[in-house]
Amino acid sequence: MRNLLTIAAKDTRIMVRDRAALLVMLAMPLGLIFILGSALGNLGEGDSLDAEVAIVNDDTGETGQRFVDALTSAEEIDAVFNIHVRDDAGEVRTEVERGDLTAALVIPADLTDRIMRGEPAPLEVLQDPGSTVSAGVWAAVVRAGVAQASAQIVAGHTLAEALSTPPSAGPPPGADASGASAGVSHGYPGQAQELELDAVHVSELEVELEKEVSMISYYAAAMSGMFLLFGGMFGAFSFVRERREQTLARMISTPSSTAVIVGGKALGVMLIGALQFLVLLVGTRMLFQVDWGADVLAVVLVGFAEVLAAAGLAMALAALGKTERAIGGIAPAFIMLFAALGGAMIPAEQLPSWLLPAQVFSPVYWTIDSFLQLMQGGALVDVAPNIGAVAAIGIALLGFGAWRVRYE
Amino acid sequence: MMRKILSLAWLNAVQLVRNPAEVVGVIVLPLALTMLFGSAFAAGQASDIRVLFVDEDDTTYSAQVGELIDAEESLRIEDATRVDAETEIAAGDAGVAVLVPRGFADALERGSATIEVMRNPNSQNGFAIVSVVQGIATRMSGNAAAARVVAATPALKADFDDVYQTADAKWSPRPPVYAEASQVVASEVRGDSVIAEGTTQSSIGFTVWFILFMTFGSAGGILEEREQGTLRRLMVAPVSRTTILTGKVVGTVLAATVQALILVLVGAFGFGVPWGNDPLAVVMVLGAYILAGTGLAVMVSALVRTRDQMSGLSPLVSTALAMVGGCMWPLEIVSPFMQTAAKLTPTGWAVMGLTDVVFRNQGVEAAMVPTLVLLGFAGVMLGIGVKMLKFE
Amino acid sequence: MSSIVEVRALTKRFNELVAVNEVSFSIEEGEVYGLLGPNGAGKTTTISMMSCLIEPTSGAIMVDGYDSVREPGALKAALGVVPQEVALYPTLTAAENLRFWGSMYGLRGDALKRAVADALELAGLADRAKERIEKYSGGMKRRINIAAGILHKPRVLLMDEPTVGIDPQSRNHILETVKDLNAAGMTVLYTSHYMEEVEYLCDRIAIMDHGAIIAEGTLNELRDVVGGMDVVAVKVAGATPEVLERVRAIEGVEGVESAEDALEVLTRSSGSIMGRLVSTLESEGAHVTSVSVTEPNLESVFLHLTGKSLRD
Repeated sequence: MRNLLTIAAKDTRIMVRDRAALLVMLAMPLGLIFILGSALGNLGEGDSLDAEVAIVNDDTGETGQRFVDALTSAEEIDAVFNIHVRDDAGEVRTEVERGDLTAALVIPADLTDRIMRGEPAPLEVLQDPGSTVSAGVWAAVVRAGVAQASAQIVAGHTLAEALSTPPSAGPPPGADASGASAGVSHGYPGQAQELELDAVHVSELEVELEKEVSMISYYAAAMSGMFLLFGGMFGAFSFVRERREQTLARMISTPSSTAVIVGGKALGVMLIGALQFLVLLVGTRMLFQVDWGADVLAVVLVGFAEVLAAAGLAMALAALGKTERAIGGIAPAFIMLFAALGGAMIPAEQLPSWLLPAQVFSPVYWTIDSFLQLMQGGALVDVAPNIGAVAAIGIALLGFGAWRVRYE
Repeated sequence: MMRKILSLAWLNAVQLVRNPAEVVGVIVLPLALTMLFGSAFAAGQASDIRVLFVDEDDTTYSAQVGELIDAEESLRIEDATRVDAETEIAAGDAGVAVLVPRGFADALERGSATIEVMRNPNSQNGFAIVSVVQGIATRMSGNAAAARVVAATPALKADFDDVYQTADAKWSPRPPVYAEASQVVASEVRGDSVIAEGTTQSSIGFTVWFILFMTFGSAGGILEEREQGTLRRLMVAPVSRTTILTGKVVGTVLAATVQALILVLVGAFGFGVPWGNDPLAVVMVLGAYILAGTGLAVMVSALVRTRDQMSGLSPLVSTALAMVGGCMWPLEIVSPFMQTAAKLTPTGWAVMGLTDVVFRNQGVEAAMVPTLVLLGFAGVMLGIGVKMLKFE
Repeated sequence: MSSIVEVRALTKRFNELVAVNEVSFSIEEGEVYGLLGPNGAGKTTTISMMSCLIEPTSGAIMVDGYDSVREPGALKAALGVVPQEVALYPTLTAAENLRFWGSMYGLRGDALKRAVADALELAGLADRAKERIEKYSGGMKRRINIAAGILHKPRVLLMDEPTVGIDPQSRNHILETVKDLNAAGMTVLYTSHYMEEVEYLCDRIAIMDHGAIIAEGTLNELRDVVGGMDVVAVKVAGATPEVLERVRAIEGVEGVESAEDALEVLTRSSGSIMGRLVSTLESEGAHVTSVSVTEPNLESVFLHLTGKSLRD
């Protein structure tokens, strides 16, 4: 036990003396979290967009103008888009093609005519293929407007038909609606006869997310989950170096069992990892106001489990790679795959569904999930299974490493 | 001189191939990731976004909500219970759930029905899906508005359900006014989809990102040579520093070119990732980017002391540059500050250039500016690197 | 008489430290020239300047008529260098390594093929040419390390401590290789701190210490420096530093060198001091087990010139 601690202390000391490695392990994650936080600060809210769009109204009737008015007067739309009203559809098309405009709406000349004749009337939305997200939002905005118009027209037509079909048609109780029979047929929007289309209301529930996790907190969790594993790579480097410089062989020749040596090296990785985690916790809290949740013990235990996984990874890598160059190749591959599976790069929901079962093998997945739960107000009981999973992966990796690793 | 440069380049290639771990890192991993995200594209339907649908009312009206969501291109519903939906959304396994509460049909007839939506705030597709649901609500509201008026007029002797169905029939095959969205590409028009196609973005992003891994790995070879004494030996051979450096740079560029070719070709023919119609423009941008990546790697090699530090630093530097440059998510969604920051990185220019060339099909003309900027990056960083690199 | 290597007043300063101080020597074509000296004597710095790795602070080096500062390219082409540490690519095979280094010296095509085959033959590793260097034993690596330096048939070969830390068998192989190369007409500059190697191989020897050459000549010429002296080797137990002082004080003793349980005493009159030597030792409580008189070697020369041993 004493020897184990001595080895761990020596590894920690060597690591801490390597300024460059220390910088990489401590400062880089904070930098990345900052990048992510400022890059994606308001993602999902939509108001980070500031997209240039255009409307071209060729309609000879008046319906087109109503569309233009409706779109340009809505405040929520104005917050996201800079709308330019333009004349030349061809020019606008070219600008969208080049990406100068994110999207455009072209209202055809025969819009009002078609509606009057009862034919389906298409509006054209042009999208820049290079800005699919904001162009998609614009299409959704137009679709909402179009749905409103269609609903008015459908309702109007239905009413008009119903009122004219039966032979003994008396005046309906809703006088405004009866009078609409003529007007509604070419009516949208803003007419006096307009129907109230509020029979179905969409309400957003915010049930289970008691506390919303901000983007920067999400990435603080994600990057912590990922970067703690990089400690494993440096641990493997240290092992390989000791193997090459024969100090490992020398350790074996002392009365220390291999279990003590492996344990000591692993503990060294964990000590560094613990330091790194501490810096991440305090750093994100002080610099970016990340709230890691009330259950500090649980947060620490999750971090501890992930650090154990890093130690396991170190031994597994040392068993798989003979040189630093080899490990420098495998380690990022493993860690990135773990991170990608765990949702550290792209939200897990965007992964193909057949891949989701593979997430259980990623310590990053369990770690991110735990941190998020704790940030949302979860407690130790909620994340205990996750901690168990991460620790199990760590022990499995450590076992594999201890079994396969060569000492000389 | 030329032959010596080629020998040095060949050396890099052999060393790379002899190191299976590195091959995994630079070829297999990005291919696996492209496949993960690209398979969705090739399979078409498989890429549909899952929307959890909770039908507590179990009526024709509630069912219609589900059918209409399902009918939307790129969305697919999956039946769930309220509890399941809550857990899945909370866990981030699903982005959006749509719930039709008990009594929906009755409330619809009274004119005060509610469709509930749950969404995970981190879901990128949440906004689009909610707006689809909003459209459905509008459609049903219109139908119901007409049906209520008619049903409330005894003289018409009409049933709410019948009038609702009559009205709803007017929505198909085409509603009276509809929007046709299309992406405008120079010589073609692509299909319409509510959800952004993430695959090409991913494929471009991974290629740009992982080329850095390759250049870092290869250029770092010069540190390895320094450590194992072969650099010293090279210098006592009749080979000038310039030749040694040129050989290393050519080797790195060749390796990255082969890597890029594999990633692009396998992506294009294996997983159906579209790489645009203008190979020349793609080659220009990627070629200039490979040079810039090589310059960056040589510069970093000059700044660190050992191969170890290089191995530790390179995944982090390349990941950071990939994030800022827009390899992982489209630049259009990030803050203006970060959009400006992207213009200071080679990854950013590569992504912007490829976006013009691949997505917008703009051809060689649009590739000019990014190519020149990337060549500028390459020149400056290579210059700094060569000046600062220590041979002893 | 034309020398193939001419070193004149060569000096290298690193800030305050004078690593090489006014060193001059010349090597005739076909010679094996030894540079002997303890670690830190300036041998490697001299070799580095000769192979154009570092520029001299002052002085001049000519190899095969080329000046190291003005014509480094031509000089390097005429020179073969075997570095002290194994400098090869571990993941490449022996043949691949040799082909690479050959092409760095401008060999190509059939000439390259032949050079690689010859070099493998010389290293005695032709049958294992397709194995990666990383799989080789230390001694085998050393042999390929030498082979890589002679591919282009250099007129002069610089060997910097090529036998440090290897097994006796590989060491012998290397020494024989140097003999063979020299027999085939190659001029060799051989540095070492093992005097036996230098004695065995070299036609002429320069002894370096503290950056300067303190003696130069053939083995016999150098022995004359300690001319007429003998070395009395004593096997003894319990010789403390005080005992050594007493021995040094004996009249006729020119130098004393001690190892763990042995003493070497340099003297001009071995016959007359033997008795006093043994009695002095015994009287101080040391126990003498054997005494013998031998011919002086380079070790003795070095001992005489510097008062210290070569070995450390």
